[in-house]
Amino acid sequence: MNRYLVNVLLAYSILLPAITGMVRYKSVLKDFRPFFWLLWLGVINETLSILSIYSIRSNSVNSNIYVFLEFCFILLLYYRWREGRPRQFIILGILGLLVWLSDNILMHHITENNSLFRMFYSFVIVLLSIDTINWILVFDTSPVYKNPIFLIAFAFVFYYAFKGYLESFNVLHIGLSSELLNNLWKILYIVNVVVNLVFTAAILCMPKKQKFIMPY
Amino acid sequence: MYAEETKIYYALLIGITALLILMAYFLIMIFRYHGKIKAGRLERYREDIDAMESDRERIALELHDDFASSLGTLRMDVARLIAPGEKNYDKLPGIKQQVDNMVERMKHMAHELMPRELSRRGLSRALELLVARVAGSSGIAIQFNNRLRNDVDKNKSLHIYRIVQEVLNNVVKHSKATRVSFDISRSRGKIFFKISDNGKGFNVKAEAGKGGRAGLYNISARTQLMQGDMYITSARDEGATYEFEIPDK
Repeated sequence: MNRYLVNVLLAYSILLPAITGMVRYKSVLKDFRPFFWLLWLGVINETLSILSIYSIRSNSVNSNIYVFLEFCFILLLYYRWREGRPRQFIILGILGLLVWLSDNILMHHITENNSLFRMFYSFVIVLLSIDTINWILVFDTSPVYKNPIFLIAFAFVFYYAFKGYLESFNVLHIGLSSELLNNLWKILYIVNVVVNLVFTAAILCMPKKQKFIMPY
Repeated sequence: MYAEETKIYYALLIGITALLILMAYFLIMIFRYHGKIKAGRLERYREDIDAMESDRERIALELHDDFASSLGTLRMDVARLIAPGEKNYDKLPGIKQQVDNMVERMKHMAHELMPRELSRRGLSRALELLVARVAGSSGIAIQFNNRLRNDVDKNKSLHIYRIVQEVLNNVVKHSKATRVSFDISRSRGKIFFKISDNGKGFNVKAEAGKGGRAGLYNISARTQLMQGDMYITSARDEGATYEFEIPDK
């Protein structure tokens, strides 16, 4: 099978959680809705990427915009899950916007494949996810394997830690051979499939109403 | 070192550094949360002990100010009654009234400590009386839909009674509600009950995050003791709904 087609199929594994999300959208807690928007945005971006590659031979513009929207949705998601610290999320959002503008307008052009913002947002998402995982492990008394927030945060750490690591090679101009880089990116596609399966499991575990648990 | 090896060396160095930073962050946050949970638990112990002490103080005050002084007066009346040469039989109805009042107050006090109707007439009837009492004293219209049979486990009955009492107490004290609906039923091996009010509501996550009111803590602790689940839905000016699912056996 064509290598490009395999990559497209792997990328479209996002359809699995996206469709599951459509089915469960109205029946789960409102706090999870930004996660569904994120998945649907991912599907739109994958489609736009294919169309862009076929028409203008590059998906950089839509991808550069997509990563910023992805960052905003994930911030919104964590803000809703961990309510009570709005200032931290506003600062992160503003910082993200500044890094994005620097990366895509000041330092480079939006039509290029820019990695600085991608490295930055991967790092922020991993830190937020670790913080959330810790919070769940320490304060939540319900089983973690059935906790959708834990599953999603765990998948985020898995995916964005690896993605941020790969993006750092571009930012720091390590100059690895294109063959090695391609192979590393292939691993990310596989990670993406695993993460989408975890997302699907998380959606199936999403509750209809919020269980009340006192942290201590 | 070959050029390609140097590049791989740098790549590995970046990976290991990133991993170390993440691990350090993981540990720092775990320690921070452990500190928070420790402080929260200490605060909770202090609140529990304070609540116990204030209960003791209240009982001691009632015993001293109310019963001790009433008994003192009674003792003097009886002493006068039995004094040689005194024939104060007209004081007997007054003495009887005093004794009746004391018995009534003692019953009230005993009821506050442990609702008598719960052991005598079961959870269902005890809840009906509780609802009637709260509605009467607060002026809130409470619609009680009771589909519960009486044979609930004795220990669980007390916890459920206390939870309902605490929720209604919260509603009366904080919600400014005018209407409350309370449904209780059992099916599929579970006891379900739900209390909704039309009051000013509150931010549930913020309340849980900061450790909650002592009342909410008690409700949550009793629910967890019964291995049940508790759900609170509320928003500012949209009232609050407390739902509980308790295993029947």
